[in-house]
Order: sequence, then structure tokens, then C-alpha cells
Amino acid sequence: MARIRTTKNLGQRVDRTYLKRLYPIPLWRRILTVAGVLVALLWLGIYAVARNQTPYTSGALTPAHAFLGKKCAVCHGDSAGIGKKVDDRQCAACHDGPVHQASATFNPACVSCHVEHRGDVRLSAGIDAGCLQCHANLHTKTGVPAVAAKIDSFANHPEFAKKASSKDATGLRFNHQKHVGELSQKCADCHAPAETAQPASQHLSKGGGRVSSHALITIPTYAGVCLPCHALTIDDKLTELAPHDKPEVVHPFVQAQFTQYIAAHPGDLGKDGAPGSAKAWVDFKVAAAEKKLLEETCTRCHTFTAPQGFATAAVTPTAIPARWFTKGSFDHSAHKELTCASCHAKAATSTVAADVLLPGIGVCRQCHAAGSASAGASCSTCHIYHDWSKEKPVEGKYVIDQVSRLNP
Amino acid sequence: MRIDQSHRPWAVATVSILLVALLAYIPYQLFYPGGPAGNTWPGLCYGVLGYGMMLFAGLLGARKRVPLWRIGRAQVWMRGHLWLGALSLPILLLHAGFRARGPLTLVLAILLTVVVLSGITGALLQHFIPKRMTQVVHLETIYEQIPHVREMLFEEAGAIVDSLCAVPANLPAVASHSTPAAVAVAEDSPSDLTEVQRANLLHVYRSGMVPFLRDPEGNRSSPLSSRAKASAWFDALRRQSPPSVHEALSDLESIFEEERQLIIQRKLYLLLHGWLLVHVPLSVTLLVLGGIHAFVAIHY
Amino acid sequence: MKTLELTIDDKPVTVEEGTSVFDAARLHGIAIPVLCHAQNERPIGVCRVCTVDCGDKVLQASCVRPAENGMKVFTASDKVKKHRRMILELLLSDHPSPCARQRVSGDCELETQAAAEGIVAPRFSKRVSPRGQDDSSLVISVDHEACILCDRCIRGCDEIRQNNVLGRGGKGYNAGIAFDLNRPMGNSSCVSCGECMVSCPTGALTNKSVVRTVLPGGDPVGVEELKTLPFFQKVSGTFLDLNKNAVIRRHFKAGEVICREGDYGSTAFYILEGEVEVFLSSMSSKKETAKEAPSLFEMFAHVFSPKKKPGSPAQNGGNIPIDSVVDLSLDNPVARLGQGDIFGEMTCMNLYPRSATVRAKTDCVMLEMLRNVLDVIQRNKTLRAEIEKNYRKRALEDHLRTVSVFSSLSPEFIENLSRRVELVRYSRGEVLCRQGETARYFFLVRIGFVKMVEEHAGGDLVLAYQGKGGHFGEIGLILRGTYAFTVTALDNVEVVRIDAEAFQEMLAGFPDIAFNLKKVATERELHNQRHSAAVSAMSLEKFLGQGLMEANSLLVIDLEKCTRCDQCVRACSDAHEGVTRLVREGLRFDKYLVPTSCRHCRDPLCMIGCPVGAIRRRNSLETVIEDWCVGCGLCARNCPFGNITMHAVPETGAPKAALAKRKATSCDLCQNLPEPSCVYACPHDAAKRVDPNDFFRDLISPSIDSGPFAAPDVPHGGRR
Repeated sequence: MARIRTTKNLGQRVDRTYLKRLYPIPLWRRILTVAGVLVALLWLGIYAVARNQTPYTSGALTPAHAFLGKKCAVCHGDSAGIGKKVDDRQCAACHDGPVHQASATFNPACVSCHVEHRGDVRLSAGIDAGCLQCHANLHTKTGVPAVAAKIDSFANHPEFAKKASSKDATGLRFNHQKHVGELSQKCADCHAPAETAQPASQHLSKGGGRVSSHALITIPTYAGVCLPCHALTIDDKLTELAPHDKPEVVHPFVQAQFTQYIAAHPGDLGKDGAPGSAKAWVDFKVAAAEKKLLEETCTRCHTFTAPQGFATAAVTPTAIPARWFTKGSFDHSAHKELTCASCHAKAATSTVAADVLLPGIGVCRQCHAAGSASAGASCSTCHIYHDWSKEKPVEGKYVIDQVSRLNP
Repeated sequence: MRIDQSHRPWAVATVSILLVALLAYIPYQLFYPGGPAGNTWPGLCYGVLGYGMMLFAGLLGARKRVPLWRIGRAQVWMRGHLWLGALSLPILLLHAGFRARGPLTLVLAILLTVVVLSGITGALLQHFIPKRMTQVVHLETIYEQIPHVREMLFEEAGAIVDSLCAVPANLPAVASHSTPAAVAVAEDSPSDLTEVQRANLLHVYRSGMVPFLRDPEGNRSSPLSSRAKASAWFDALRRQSPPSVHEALSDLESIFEEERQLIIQRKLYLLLHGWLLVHVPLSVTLLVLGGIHAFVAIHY
Repeated sequence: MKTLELTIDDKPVTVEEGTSVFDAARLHGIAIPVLCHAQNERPIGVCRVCTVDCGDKVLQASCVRPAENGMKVFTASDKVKKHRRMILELLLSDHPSPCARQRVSGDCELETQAAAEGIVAPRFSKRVSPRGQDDSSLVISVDHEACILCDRCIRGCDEIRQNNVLGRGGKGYNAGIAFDLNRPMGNSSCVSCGECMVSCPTGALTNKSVVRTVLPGGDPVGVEELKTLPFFQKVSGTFLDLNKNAVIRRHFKAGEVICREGDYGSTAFYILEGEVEVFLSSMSSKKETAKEAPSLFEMFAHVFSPKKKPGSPAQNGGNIPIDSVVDLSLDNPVARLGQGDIFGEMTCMNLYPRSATVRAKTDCVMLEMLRNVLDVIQRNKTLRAEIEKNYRKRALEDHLRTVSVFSSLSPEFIENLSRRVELVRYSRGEVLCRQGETARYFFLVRIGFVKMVEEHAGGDLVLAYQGKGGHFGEIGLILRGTYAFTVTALDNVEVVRIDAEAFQEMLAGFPDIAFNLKKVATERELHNQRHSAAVSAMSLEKFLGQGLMEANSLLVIDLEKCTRCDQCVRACSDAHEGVTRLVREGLRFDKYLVPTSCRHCRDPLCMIGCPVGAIRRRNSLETVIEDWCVGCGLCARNCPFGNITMHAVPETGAPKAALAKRKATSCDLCQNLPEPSCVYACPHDAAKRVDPNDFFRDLISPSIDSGPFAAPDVPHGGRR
């Protein structure tokens, strides 16, 4: 009796009901499947019971918003929708966002610039994409862009307006070359960082952020900077110096000084070809001194139009700007590790004040470019969006209880 | 499923889709405002694509429950499962921009990785083991039938021993469970064994064979659990018996060979299907959580 | 055979010794009334209605009385008539009139005969204690009251069907038929084959009309109408009633094709009106010498999936007119059949492909019938003889004309030959000729397959299989004088047998045939030796050993791809109401598993003997089990591969078909679907349905070359 396997006996030894029963592997597969799903649902369920929706977050909120994290609907609203963004009204419940430009053709949604769920980022700095919505191809209500129609990156940013203009309309005469080169003066001898925030810096800090109190350089003043070398000497005989003021102020001062002097020194009358009468002497001296002032002392820095003499001369107004960038910001203190000349290279060779010594955008681009390897070149590095001058006054309207209810 | 030449179109398609997705990702990564994320339109596209692939791969399980539906040959689904399932991992990585920022998305990323890796492991196992099983286990049966077949082998062995030890009708069947077949065998073949040999065989049967037949996997130390030892064991048994019973002893030996092969079959089968215990539950969980993720994400 | 001479009703008759008086009379046109004797059953002489006067001391039952030399038999003398009338009256007195059968189809044999004798009311009193009815079977109702104890049902059940369910129970006045040990029929081991009901002459066993065998595409034909046709006159009305829809009437318009060459079918046609033409569309399109003939497998393939091959130029110039494409345009009719003819029997009985195309010549009305009907008809000896006479004539004619060996024979010689050859049928397993015996015949295979085996001391070696158009015996007749191998019928085989004398005459008359045959014979001798050496290759032996060559469509599972996930089985189970017809267990061939699932064999053993013709081929190769299966389990036992299983059918099922308690199931290739579910559902590309001879060609062909054993490629010649 050999054991022969035939198709028939193999087929017939099978218990055909086996399909109806569940065997360990499929059984465990099902158990584990149910268990897996249950564990997952339990996890989400526990949070759901606690009315905590943090598991669903697409990333951590900024710390300032962290207390909102348990309830999506606080910001996102309750109605579903694909591609739906957080409504501006949700932001406006707390935040003011003054309008950007009167001539802007549309106001983008808050979230198109301020992207949440990216962890502890500077949310107030909008993303470039927000700006590029318009500035990559700018249309304004007037139809004429003030600066440039296409600015889609720092690399394509136009040259600074002040730099682009050929002359610095300072109204002064100044020879940097002479001071820096011949006299070996230091930049800081004249240009000191501003000690206190300028009024405009409030403007900066709201949007641009990282602006310190030393952001700007003080405007060099005559009294503070020039005086030691360039004393306004009226006459060798007078110890008083002329005030650094308009001619109509200087003129009576000079007259008064000479009048006092001759009164105290009558012996000088008639000396050195001067008239003998006090009145004439004063007039003579004043004329000489004012001529000198007009032609030497003042003219060293200022220009005049004086058709009827010094007393009525009109000094060309001077205009040294406190901020060169009126639309952007620049923080000198953030760059204080650099030498001045590394940016203001032309200062050492400039002979006239009309030379624009503001570095060009190319200088910035040496460090600032897109990408992680450079110092960053997002729009918000220099610019702010909202016009904070139109900021509405804030009045507190929430109580702590309301906030803590969001975060039970 | 064996990965062979017939997979070429799928492989090509998969690699092409991956390439296209990667190429599309480059400008997306470089120029998309805010950078790659799941909630951007391209990110959403990757997400829908990836979830679609996952869902398709996951539907294989559902498709297997309705083998009759003419919704594409099962092997097409399987090929799709393998390739699209594998593809869903990179696509969803692109969806997420290679980041998982929230707890749920992190869990999803981990689950997806584990599921795809376990799937690849399984695909490799199912590529190599069937051939091995075919070579090693000649006397293969249906896995679920192994206990049933073992019972039958036990009975058969009992019947053979009964027939060898059959003594005139006054004694009941000694070894078997008295199945009709066993009784028939016992009646048909008068034994040539002497009283002593019979007692010896019975002893050997009870002490050596029965424990192994009863629990072949739990008796690794039994000489019967290895072919070489079993062969020697039976040779010894043959030497003590007259030639007329040698054929019956060979039959017995072949029963043990079958038992041993079934042990190997069980092991290989567990490898062949055991990985599913990881793959299937996690993939279902992944699909459920992925669905929740998609719902919540689209809702907000 | 010794013959006897006797007179019956003064008519001198001659019959073979051993013939009963009843048969002697029947053969000479004298009808003797009878009740207990059915022609397909062994006579037992219990009813005595066939009583005749043989000149003996007492009257004799003619069905069991052997004829004797010089016997004078009177079948209708007054004495006989008186006795017969008395017997009928006595029988009728214990028979409810009208009985169930008389009421339904009006053909209760007892009541018909009694009426013919003018017996209206028997003079004898009815029995007092009732014998009762048995209504427990779902298919057959039993009225013991109507039983006349003729035992026809018992012989039908036990001897014809060999179901051994029916027997006699009780004694004397309480005697009756009994199922098993007198159990109610519904609880017995009865398989509801209906044989008993067909056998019953009265209304004791009648159809409950629940079996609705349905042939599509025609109108059912009423029993009364069928009974008016000569062809159906001898068939039990009860049976026809039972199989009401197994005979249908179909109308064909002129020009419409009724059946096409190569189609599979399981029905035969009877022409009620009109004329049809029978032709061979691929007639002798290929004529090659045996050497160039296709291999065994090509031959199989060709026979079973007829593909027209490009015709090659005929080798012999002098073709007989009908054997040439040139002489006979493709659609030229070969023969016409008219009213009262039957065709398609061979397809019906053997489940082979149709061998010819039949097209309506005029508008036709046909009766199409299933095998079980034809089977019952053919049991009738008279009819069978008639059918076979026609059949033999047509088959021989066609076959001789279309076999290429005879292509150069002149038409006259073929005419001559056709009278000298015999058409012989063999059933499965019968030996046609035995190795070493004196060669007496040349054989041409017409139907079926034979196995040529060389017997060796160590065992038999299968040399070849021969199908239609194959021939053998020439080695014996030309070279050896004895047969070179043993030829066994593999299924129902029909061969043309040419005796040695006619064969030699043919060789003498047609030297080119003689030359060709000699060449063939020599080549075969050579091939035998080569083959004996080559065939030892394991795979072929295994291939044949597992019976794979038998399969039309074999399910194989590539074990190197299969992960044993059982999806195929699940799919099968789902496709068939939760009962799988596929078990992923079986023998291996190479790296393939041949699981337990129907192979749709070329010669389906399972179909043999199905009592209701439920297992059959429709119009394609697949073997299907129709839902009128009665659950007898015969097919499951017959299947050598265990591919048919019996399973319980829920009893609560609506009365949609046969209310059997179990049914046979086997793979139906998911016939309503484009692809078998198991293959469709395999996720691993492992399961396939293949033609094994094609699929495994590389594995098996090295050891079996085409060789001269391959039959010449014969078109599907011969109509039925």
C-alpha cells in the first residue's frame, strides 16, 4: 500500500468549509486594524472631548497667538471651504491695519502677508509674496506708479531715489576730501549715531521691527561739529564770535559788538585808516567785518544772495536730511561693525557737498540677497506696509476672562 | 507578486510621475509665495494626488472583498497597489514640503513611512518566498488545512500501525482512532510481525511517533523532526522487522516527511503573510487619519 | 448462429436461436400486447398479458418463452384473447381508473389495453384495504394503488440505472414496490433520475412536473403532439412529460444555419418539415502525407478548435470529385436531409463538436432534443436499429470520401468498398486490436480517441493517441502480420474496419495508396523504436499521468508567483453562492499547481450517464451543470480528478428548478462573465486558464515529435 497522491484524493481531503472560518492571521489582521483605528480615534477623541484642536494644527502659532491654538474656529471661522483663508475681520478683532497707500488698487487679505502656523516667527514682517501681489506688476489708481512698476525681488529693486539723483541739494559747501584726506579727520568726528529715536522711528518700529535707537546718524550741526575749527570770528579786536544765524540776526550783533568795543576803546578811532568818528568807525568796521563774513567765513559753507549787502543777504537754506530713506529704513547701528568707508566709499574723495555719498543699492546687495546664505533681502527688511501714521488709537476691550476661556 | 518584466510599464509610469512631480516641485519650492506647504494650491494638488494613490492602494483590500466586480483585473489593482503605494510616499513628502509641523501631520508622516516600508518588505518577501516554498515544500497543502491534514496524517499513521500490529479480531484497534479506513486496512493486511516485534513497534509508535504527530511543531527535539535523523530512525526500525512490512514503514516515513514539510510551509507562510499584520492595520489607520486630516485641513 | 423456423399466427418466421416468442413476433411485425415487458429491460414474465398459445399444455408468456423449431404460435386466437381479457380485467380491478397517468397524458398502458378489449368496469370487487400514496418525493409522485407489480420500475432502477433503490416489499395482498427498506421515496436514497417513472406503464409513478429542463430559443412541444410522431411513439409519455422542455420546436428560415461545424452542442435535431443541407466548410482543405501531418497536440487542437488552415495543393491529381475544394465550392451541399430525418445524434451522445454545418434549405421546423431524450429513444431496440442503419450508411459514405488515405481511390471503388467495410462502435476501455494478434483489419478512426500502447514486460508505453481520421493496422497487414500494438478506445469510439481481403485488394488496385501506406508503416516502425527510447522523459509521462492532455481548459497556478492568498478560491466561492468550485490543492506539474477545478476535458467522463442531461456542453467547450441537476452524484464519481463536488442546496429555495436536496457543481468558467473569476481575481498574475497542450508545449514536446502517428489532418468530415 504505497501512499499515492492523486488529484482526486488531494482535492477531496480538503475540508471545503474552511473559507467560512476565520484563521489566526486574518483574524489578527482585523483585530489590529480595528485596534489601530481605535487608538487613532481615541487619541483624537480625547482632544475632542477636551475641546482642544491642537492636533490638527498645521504648525505652531506665534507665541502671541498661542492662546488661540486650541480652537481653530477663533480665526478660521466655522464655515468650511476649500482654499478659504482666514477672514480679515478675524484679525481686525484685535489688530489695526492702517491702509497702505491711497492709490493702491486693492487691499490684500491679512493672511496673504502674515502667514501663521510657522512657529515663533516675526509675524509682523509680512512675507515678500504679500508685497509682490502688487509690486511685481504694479497698477495704481492713478495709473502711474510713483517709483517702479515691476519690483519682484531685491535683485530687481530700483536704485535708491536719493542716490539716483545726481546732486545732494544740501545748500552747503563741504569738502569731505579736505577733512578726511588732508586733515585726517574721522567720520565719527562729525557723524555721531543719533542718541535718541527720531520721531520717524516710531514709524519704523511698528512695521520694520528691528530698528534701534541708534538707527540714524545725527545731522552734523555747526555748533556741534564745525565750530572748533571754523569759529565765526568777526574781527581780531572782538572776542565775541558771530552767532551762527541768519544775516539779519548777525548784522545787529556785529553792529552792537563794534559799538561796544569803540565805546570801550576810543583810542582806536582813526587808527589804521579807520574813520575817527565812532559812528563812522563802527560803520566802517561793520562793513569790513560783514564783507569778510560774506566773502570768507560764511561762504566757506554757505551761499548767499546779497544784492544790498550783508544785512539783507539771503542764505541759501541748508537741507541735511535726517533720514535719507523716506520709504524705507536703514539701521546704522545694525551695521556698526562695518567701517563707514566700506559703504560710503566716496566720502574720502568727495570735494563738493553736492556729491551724493549715500551708498547705492549695489552696496547693500553685497550682503543682502535672497537665500539663506545671505543677510536676507525680504521687502520687510527695509519696508513697512501699513501707514502707521493713520493708526487708530487703541482702547482695551477684552478682559482676561475672555482670553482664558479660549484656553481652558 | 513577483516583480518581473511585466512590471516595466508600471515602473516607467511610476518613475515618470515621480520625475514630473519633482520637476514641478523645483519652481514651486523656489518661487511659490510662502514656500511649499500643504495648504497651497500646488501642495493641495500633491496632497490630493498622494491621498488618491494611498486610497487606491488601500482599496486593494476592499477590492479583494468583491472579487467578482468587473472593475479591473485584480492583478492590475495589485500592480497599482505596489507602484502607486510606493509612489505615494514621495508625493506626500512633496505635499508636506518635507516638513511635518503639526502633531497629526507628524503621525501621518510616520505612519506613511512605516506603511510604505512594510509594504516594500512585504513585496520583497512575496517576491522571493513563493519560489522558495515551491522548491522546499513539495507536499504543500492549503495553509488553513494544515491542522486538518495533520489529523488525517495522524489517522493514517495510526491505521498503518494498526495494520502492522493487527492481531486476530479479539483485540480492538490499538493505535488508530478506528476510522473506517483504518479498520479496513487492519482487516485487509494480516501482520507478519512476531509478538515481540509487534509490542516493540507499538511502543515505538506510542513513545516516538504519537507525540510528534500530535504536535509536530512542539517536538523539535524528536528525531523525527529532521529528515536525516528520521531516516536513520526508520532504518533502525526496518532492521528489526521482516521485509514484508518495509513498505508500510516507508509509508510511515513518508507521513513524517509530509509533517516536516508542513512545518516548513507554516513558517514560510507566516513570513509570507505575517508582515500584513503591520501593513494592513497601519494603512487603514493611515487612511482614516489622512481622511480626517484632509477634512479638517479643507474645512479650515 | 443457429436459426429456428416456426409459425406465428400461421405466418412462417425465421429467427435466431434464443429469441423469445415475443421478439420473434415483433421482428415480423406481429404486435403482442404486453405490460410488464419493456424492450430495454430483461423480460421477467409477471403480468402475463403477452400470453400466447404455443401449443403447450398451458398458455405461455411470450416474453419469456424461447422460440422453438417448428413451434406454432397463436397470438390472437379466441382462447388467447379470452385469457388476456381476463388477465386485464383482473389487473384493472385492482387499479384506479382513470389513474394519474391516464388523466394527464391519457396513455396508461393498462387502461389503454383494457379499453381496447372493451373492458369498462371489471366484474371483480375492489380491494378493501388501500395501498396508499407516497407524496414525499419532490419529483415523482407514487400511487401504490395504480401499481400492477410489473417490476418495470425495479428493473429500470436496479439494472439500467444501477441505482439499486427500488425493490419489492410486502407479501401477497400487501406486495408493492419499495424504496430502500420501504422508506418514503423522498427520504430514500433515490436520485430522482426518473427512470422508474419512465418505465412505469401506469400512473403508479408519475412526474410532478417540477423538473423544467429548458432549452432556449424554441417553443416547448406538448406530449400529445410528440406522441403523434413515429419517432416518439414508443417513448414513455410520462418521460416526455417529465422532460417537457427537453424537446423544443424551432423554426428556421431558408438559409439559416442550424448548427455549425466545430461548435459544441448537446442536442440532436429531428426534422418535422422542410429540407436541410449538410456540408463541410473546411472540406479536405489540407491533404498531406502522414509525414507532414501535424503532431499529436496539433491534431488534438485541430479537432477541438477547428481553425481553417490554408489549403495545400492536393498531392494526388485524380481526386474524387467530392473530396476536392476545386470540385466542390465551399458551400456546396454534400447531402440533403428531409422530413423525418434526425441529425446531430453523435454530438448529442458523445458531446463532440458538430462535424458538419447544417443549413436550412427551405423553411424548416425542427425538434431539438437533449441527450436524455435521445438516450431514451435509443433504448428502444426497433428505433435504435433504424437510426443506426441510416447512420451507418451516411457515416461510412462520408468518412470514406473525406479521409485522405483514400483520396486517390476512384468513386466506384469507394462505392464498392463502402459495402465491404463495417462501422463498429466501441465503448471506453474496449480493445480494438491487441498487440501480437494476427492482423485481420485495417482501422480508420471516425469518432473518438484511441490509445496506442506498446506492451512491455515492465509496463505499457503509450505510443500515441489517434483521433478522427487516424488509421492503424497497416503495420500488421503490410509488414508484420500481427498487430504491433494494442489499441484501446478512450471514449465512445467509432471506427471503419476494413477487412484484410478488401485492404489487399485496395493495395493491389491503387499502387500509390499502397506505396503511401507502406511508407507510413515503415516510418511508424522506425518511430516506435525512437519513441520508446525518448518517451522516458519524466515530464511527458507526468503530463500524461496526470491526464493533463485531456483538458480543454486547465487552471494552472504559477507557484513561483502565487502567494497562497486564496483569492482565487474566494472569488470562486463568491461567484457561486458561497460554494467554491475550486480548491487550491492538487498535484504539481513543473512549477505549476494544477488545482482542483474542472478541466473541461475533451472527453468528459462526467457526462456519461447523467440521467437528466444536466451536465453538458452548450455551444462551447465548457462543461456546465445545469440547474436541473437531480443530485445523483454520478458525475462526481465519474470525474477522475475530483473536480465535481456535491453540495447541499437549501431546501427553502424557491421552486425555481429541480428541488433536489443536493446538486453537483463544477467550474463553469464563470460562463456569464468574460473571464473566469479565479483568474480575474488573482492579484499576482499566478492563476491562468490555459490549453495545456499549448501551454506546456515546451516542457513536453522534446519527447513527442509530430511523427507519423499523427493523424492526417482531416476536415471535420461526415455528418450525422
